Amino acid sequence: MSAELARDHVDISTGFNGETIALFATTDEDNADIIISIKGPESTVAVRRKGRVLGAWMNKDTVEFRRVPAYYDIASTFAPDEVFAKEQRIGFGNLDFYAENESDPETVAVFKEALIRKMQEKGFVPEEAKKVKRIDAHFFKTTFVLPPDIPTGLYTVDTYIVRGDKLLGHESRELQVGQVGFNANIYLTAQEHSFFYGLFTVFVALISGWSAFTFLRRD
Amino acid sequence: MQIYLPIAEISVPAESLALLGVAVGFLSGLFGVGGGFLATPFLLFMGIPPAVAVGTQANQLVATSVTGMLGHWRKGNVDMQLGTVMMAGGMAGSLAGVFVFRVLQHFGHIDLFIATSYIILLGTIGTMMLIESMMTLLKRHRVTEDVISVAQRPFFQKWPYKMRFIKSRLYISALLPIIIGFVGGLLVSILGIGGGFILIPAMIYVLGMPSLLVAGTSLFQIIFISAFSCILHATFNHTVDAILALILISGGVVGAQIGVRAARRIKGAPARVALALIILAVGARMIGVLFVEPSDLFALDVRL
Repeated sequence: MSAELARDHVDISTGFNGETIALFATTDEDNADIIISIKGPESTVAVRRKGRVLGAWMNKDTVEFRRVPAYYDIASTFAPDEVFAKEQRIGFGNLDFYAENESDPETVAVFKEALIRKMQEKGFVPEEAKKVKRIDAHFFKTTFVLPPDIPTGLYTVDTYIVRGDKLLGHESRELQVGQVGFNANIYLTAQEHSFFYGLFTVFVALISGWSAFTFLRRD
Repeated sequence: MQIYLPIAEISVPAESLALLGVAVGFLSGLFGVGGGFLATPFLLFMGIPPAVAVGTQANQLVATSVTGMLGHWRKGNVDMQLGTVMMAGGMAGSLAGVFVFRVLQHFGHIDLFIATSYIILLGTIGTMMLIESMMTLLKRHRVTEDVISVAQRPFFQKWPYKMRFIKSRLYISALLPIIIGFVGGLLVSILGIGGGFILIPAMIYVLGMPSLLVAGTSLFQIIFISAFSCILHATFNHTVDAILALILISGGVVGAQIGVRAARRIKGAPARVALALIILAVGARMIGVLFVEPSDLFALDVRL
């Protein structure tokens, strides 16, 4: 089998408003099905639940989840068997993220369900799998639509060739999502030369304020 | 036109940002308030993370305060000596504020703290302004007594480190302006506001400064503490978004000019009533956010 992304990087510049990413896959197997998933960089996510304290609603309980992918999407030619999906870690709910500071499984389940739901609302986790386009019996194409506020970082695109509940092949590809050009320079400067960046923004503000007064005032 | 903000890492409509800058600038030109108290909540409504809103606001505040201060300075209405003393407290307060902000953010209580502080501040200031301007409007005769400023009271006259502030004609303990400056610095760093509308009554009623010098002197020290806060936020929290700041400042400059020109045509008291109502409305909305059961009890907080 083989799988290839049409482009292996997404460049975020000033006017960025989302991006579509195409992936092509081929296989020698006959009557095979295909599942393609895209997974964003992992981070820790705190899920907070509000409760009433003295009449006011505030964050009361927190469950921290480790290794949560920032983004996830999945496309397939069929609906895989649940057991198979769990084994292969296919589907957002079956991924490796886990709760850190909470041991009661019921609580974890409630917060995990909230995590999935909130990420779906943001458009970072799909509600259901998309359809893969079968170009012919051995050639597949799928398109992922990345939203404008997509998190930056290294993404992994996994392609699985499946027949029934047997895994026939698996390929992994990397997708780099990052800021480029002017935006990237600003971001990097803010991170690496933060003091000078701060100094510079203050300088710009001082000049702006002074210019506004000098050139725009009316006596 | 969507514009991607490199530090906030979200894409927002550039027109909304520019409009917000103009509105804030307009209020600042018309009333002389920083307008930060309106800008920060709106930035939060737009989905900009609170840390970036506060850090970037500090930057915008520098620009606005410079413009305003220069105007007052040209007329000789700035007490730089007193302003510098206040600024010393302000730097400390700014520094403390940046770290308090980080702690609150870490424990997930930053939204609550900002909301509560805004409610208290906006509620108090809005109500005071409403009463004052309505009474002026209705032409009630206000008996103005000779209010003895806090600094003149015997207890505070005994405080150490007394200094002579020549321009304001005051002989008071330097600790008082330092404390006031400290509170101002805290407000800038935690809430992203100028603190002007807290500082100005404090300078009049606590220090006993002549009211003519108050606005210019307060702007003078706000320049330095917001510059300091901006640098701190940038250095330690990496939360100053240069693009966001640029758009807000550009809009603000235009808005301020419109506001200053409008100030000549609009009468003071009804305008202040309007401002008081706006302040109270923003405060009321924050109360709503705090006390009404949220539609979704859950919220996500992405850490690294």
